[in-house]
Amino acid sequence: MTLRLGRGSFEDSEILVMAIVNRTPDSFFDKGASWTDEAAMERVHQVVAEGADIIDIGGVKAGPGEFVSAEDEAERVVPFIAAVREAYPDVVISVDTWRHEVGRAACEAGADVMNDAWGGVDPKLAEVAAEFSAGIICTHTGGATPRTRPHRIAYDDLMGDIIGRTTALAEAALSAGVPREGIVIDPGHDFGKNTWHSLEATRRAGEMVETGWPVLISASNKDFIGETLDRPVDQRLIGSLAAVAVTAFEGARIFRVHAVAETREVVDMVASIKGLREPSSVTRGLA
Amino acid sequence: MSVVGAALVPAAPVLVPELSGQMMPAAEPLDAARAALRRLIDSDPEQLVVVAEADREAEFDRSARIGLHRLGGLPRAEDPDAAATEELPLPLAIGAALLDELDWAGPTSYRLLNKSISSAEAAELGQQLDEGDSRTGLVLLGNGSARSTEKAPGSLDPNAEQFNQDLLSMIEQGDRDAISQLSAEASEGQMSDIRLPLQLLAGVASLSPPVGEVGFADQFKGVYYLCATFLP
Repeated sequence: MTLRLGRGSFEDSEILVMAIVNRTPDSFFDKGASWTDEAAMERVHQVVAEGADIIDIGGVKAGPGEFVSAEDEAERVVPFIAAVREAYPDVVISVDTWRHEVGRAACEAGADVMNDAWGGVDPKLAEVAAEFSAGIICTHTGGATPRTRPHRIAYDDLMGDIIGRTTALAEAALSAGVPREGIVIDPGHDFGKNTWHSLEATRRAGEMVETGWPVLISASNKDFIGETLDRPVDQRLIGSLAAVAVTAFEGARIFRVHAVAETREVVDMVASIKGLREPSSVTRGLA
Repeated sequence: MSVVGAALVPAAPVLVPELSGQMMPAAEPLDAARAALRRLIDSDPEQLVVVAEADREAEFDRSARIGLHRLGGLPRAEDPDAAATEELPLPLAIGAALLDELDWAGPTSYRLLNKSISSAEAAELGQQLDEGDSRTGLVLLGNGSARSTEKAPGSLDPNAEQFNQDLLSMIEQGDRDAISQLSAEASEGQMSDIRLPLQLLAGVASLSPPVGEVGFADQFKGVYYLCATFLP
């Protein structure tokens, strides 16, 4: 299915890289590296040059921490979205928020996608997406409250829960008026899941693809990779790329990542393995 | 006949080796939990009753399956008989898995206590078990605060340390009054599920005062674990 994310339109064969740009002082991986306007814009210049298709801008760390009001969140992300839009009129911009007030202000500033990483906590977010013809990411969290950690969470049928909840959110977004081609589902690695659950969601990503909704994978540097390979947060790139490769092969379309250049290379390689992309240069045995 | 002893261990999935990965991250509390259960088994009970707190009341017998697949683990072949047998709820399943590992094969029943019941009701259940016909061992499942550090499941609560220290003190001293006064509200606020198992213990006259020999008392990943044995 052709993806239409606000001003961006992408053909079936395109695998997209979404670059994470945090406007937070405390996110788990970058720990404030793009907290200032200058550093954040420098990060945007870098990821665009490296081939990012979507810039995902968030103002609240996912984990527990200092309370950030909707007003404070908007202050962190909205002026910056306007600045990125001015610098890059055609790039697709996503806002990582669960609050419709922030989503609305972000769309007014030029955002194309609502990245609803806490899975429909605020149903009005889909209404905002519909109003602005923006896309929306429908994420599985198992019903978790925003900014909480999982504790002894269990699923009778993990993939049934993931598919049931995300497709229900997708259908609700459709009913709210979001264009079908702008709705994406996300298994929500680490959100409401232990490491076993996130590993299972990774190896069974193809079952989400079979629903027909485009699938986004957001696994970059997350704890399930750290626990699987016994690596601290700054040494999880290889594990992250392995998760990208597996899920790209299974048919996921969008990869939300910190390491754009490396991910771009992996998804290009996977696309070529799948026969969706011609190799860059073929001379071996052909001369 | 009466209750011959009790063991207190956390209902933590990380204590089950098939769930915790290659490196045994919780080796120390696991050793302490095994030791507490082993001492209970060595006290020669004819039957074990495994008790945990939950948001409903339920009883199960030994035919119930452990069913840890809901928590994960490596993919495994499906048990063709699985659908035909009842599955233990998670805290009880952790207790059952720990007992399985110790090769306990005797009669076992499992009891979920609804967290809405009072201290007196829990103690009455303990008294009933104590007045039974068999030599009974109690396996009590529960943890202290799950808000004991910044990175804890519920993040840090400023009252967590005091809550945990109070628990340790009442167990080491066998303080039935303090155990009886543990409040549901404070326990819920700390994401602790230890209240009712302890209050059931407080009703067991054969173990009065319920002085625990504590083998482990510390937080693991922000959850306060207590492993203890209570013997006459």
